[in-house]
Amino acid sequence: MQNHPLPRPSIFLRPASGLVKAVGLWDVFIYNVGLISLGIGVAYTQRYGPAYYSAGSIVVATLLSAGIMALVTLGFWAWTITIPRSGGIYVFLTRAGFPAFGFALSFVECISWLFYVAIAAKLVTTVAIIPLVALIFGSSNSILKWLSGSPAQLIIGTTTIVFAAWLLITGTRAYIKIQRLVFIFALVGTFALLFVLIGGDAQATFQANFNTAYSYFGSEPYSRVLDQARSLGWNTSAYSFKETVSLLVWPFLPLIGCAFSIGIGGEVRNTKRNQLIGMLGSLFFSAFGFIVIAILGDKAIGTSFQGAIAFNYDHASLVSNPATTAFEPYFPYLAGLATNSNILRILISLGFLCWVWFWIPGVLAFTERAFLAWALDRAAPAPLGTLHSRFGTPYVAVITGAIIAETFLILILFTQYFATLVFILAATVAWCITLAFGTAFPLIRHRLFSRSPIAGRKIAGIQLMTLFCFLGACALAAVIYLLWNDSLAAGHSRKSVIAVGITFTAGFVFHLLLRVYRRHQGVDLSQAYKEIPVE
Amino acid sequence: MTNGWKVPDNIQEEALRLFDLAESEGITLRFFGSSAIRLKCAKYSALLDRADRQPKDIDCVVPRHHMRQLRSLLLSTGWIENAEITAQTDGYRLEFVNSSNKTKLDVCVDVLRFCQTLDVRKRIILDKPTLSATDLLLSKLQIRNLTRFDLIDILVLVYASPLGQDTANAIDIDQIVELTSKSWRWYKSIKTSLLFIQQQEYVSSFDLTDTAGSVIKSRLSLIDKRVLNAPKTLFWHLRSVVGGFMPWHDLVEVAPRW
Repeated sequence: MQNHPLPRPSIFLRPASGLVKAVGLWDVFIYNVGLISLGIGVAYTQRYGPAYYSAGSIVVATLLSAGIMALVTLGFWAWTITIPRSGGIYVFLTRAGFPAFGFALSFVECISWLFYVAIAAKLVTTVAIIPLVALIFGSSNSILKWLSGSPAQLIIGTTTIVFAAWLLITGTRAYIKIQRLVFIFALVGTFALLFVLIGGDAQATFQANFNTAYSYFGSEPYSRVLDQARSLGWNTSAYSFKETVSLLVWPFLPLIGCAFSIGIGGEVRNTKRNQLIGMLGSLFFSAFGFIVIAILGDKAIGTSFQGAIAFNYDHASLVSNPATTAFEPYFPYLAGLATNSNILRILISLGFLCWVWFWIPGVLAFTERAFLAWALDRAAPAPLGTLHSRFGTPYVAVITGAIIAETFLILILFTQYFATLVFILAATVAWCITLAFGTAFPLIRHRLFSRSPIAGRKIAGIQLMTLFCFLGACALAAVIYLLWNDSLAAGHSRKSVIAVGITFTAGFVFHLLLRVYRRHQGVDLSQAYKEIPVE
Repeated sequence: MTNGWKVPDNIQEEALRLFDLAESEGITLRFFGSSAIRLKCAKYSALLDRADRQPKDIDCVVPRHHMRQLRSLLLSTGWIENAEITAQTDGYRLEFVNSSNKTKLDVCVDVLRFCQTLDVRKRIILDKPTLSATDLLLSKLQIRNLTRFDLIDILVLVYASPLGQDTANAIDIDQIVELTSKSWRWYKSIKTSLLFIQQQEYVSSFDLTDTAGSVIKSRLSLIDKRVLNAPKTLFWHLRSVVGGFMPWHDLVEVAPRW
């Protein structure tokens, strides 16, 4: 037996009371996959892509947007392993010495993402429940009519938001457990979808079922849809790379979710490894899913048909007999027509329901961490950081996020103000600026950066963080350009610019006002930001 | 200065003050860690002093149903909470600093969750103001990379605590064996730690007497033998098949600064 002399005593060979962090690799992966949401991605891309970018290829657009997001992900990975705290871009920028930007951009991204909670709350009905009811009970019934109306979507959406908030208030562990279960159901639903689409008779079954359900269109309803779309101005040109590039904003919107685990960065075990694998893994997994579903969807339903029926739906008011569905023709409904099995139809719809659900508590958890970080720094009113006496969770932050999301839901359902997904532009700008700061961070905050696990890593003499953040910022700048010029996805209409402008301004103004207020109280906010990073 | 904190002079006194306060409020609070070992093995504190083993903070555990009360009590008596830890652990870990003397307090709720998880809910009342000797020993043996300070803590605790059924002050091998027979992870953890200890020249390093060294060696040896020879459950055997190919301990990382 070999005896080893003891090491010389030192002050601390190991930190006194460490923490076993709750979030492992699979949890990061599931969290990010959930926030990408295969269901929402497929629903939106297949809904708008073929209709308005008919010369574009969804497959190529997805590959391009995945490439863009890979660069963005690497940039944020560099940030989150350098400053592994929960709270997203707020903690990155404030600890890096840019507090005004940190708060303002965090404010912008939180408002933007909460807007998408509202979108998801609406999609619970339109993407999952309506298709399920239509497939099981027929495409024209009174329940469908009710579900298509704003009051029903408000009730269902609100219930979902409230349930998600309650889940988060009861604890992160409960939330993680539920998410793992929901992920399994989502996968089951997705496999059911693939099973249906792969089937050799999927195309014949789809056309037969569609022609039966919509026989009132006249003879050959399937062809009638295509004919009417063309007559309304829907264009089916040959493949165009330019249009494919324009189309990439649609798969980009869901794929941006792959980097959301930066919001819970302080809770991830083995941050360097788990964040990288979790983020990139979720990106490639989901992109692959989008591509496979797009290809199989084309085979079973027809990409042109998907475009035509969506185009007809959006222009239904222009014709007396619109050749389209009475509700938004999302992919789950169309895919459900490619099978005669009600069990498979239920599984497909439930799968999409699970995917849509992921966004809601996932984003609320993201914003909750940001709000808590603000409150702990006293950059926001202290009550925002109040912890539940029984659960120990930041319930005020959760409820605040839920209220903002609910407000957006009401505005989306009952006004025309948020017709486009305008906030993706705001959020993308916020992230782009954060990555731009990341480019400079190793140079201007050298001492702080030296503690990063990648401080010594360089490529061609350039710090890895600088390189990754630079590439990510450039990638996002390209997307911002595309979004700015895409009036369907975001655009720069007066309303859009005002919405985005107000959000940015509000963030800076709020920070400034609170800074003045705190100074009046004798509190110097900048002291809160001068701390050593976590690890 | 240690890791940015100045260690207060009277951690033991602060701990006992805290205990009395908690007791008066009906809160079941028990200490573990270095301050607990010093309290439990007060008779052998000279050994700890010789090894320069001074507690730097207070570690304690409370049952979940007393967490809310304890939190209120601490917040109302000048302790400042690291709310981020509380929020991230759903209140299963709390961290406080005393605003006047800067004593650091770590609170585990229900379980000690480190490299292994030690559920003390059923045994928390066996002794006071610390956990029982057995639980204190388990909380040390579960550490993956034992430091010099951990080692002296273990040695003093084993020297001070006979092996037996006195649930408060003795080391109950049956309890250890029950744990290690069901959980391969715990088994691996304890065997690894015991092997590490056996390989150290602790008698000379810590200036122990031959008698002390002999007592410690025989007690650790008996624990090792009992743990090794005890019959194991089916689940233990199934887990052992995978062995070290799956992680057998959790990663303990530095708590966020605040």
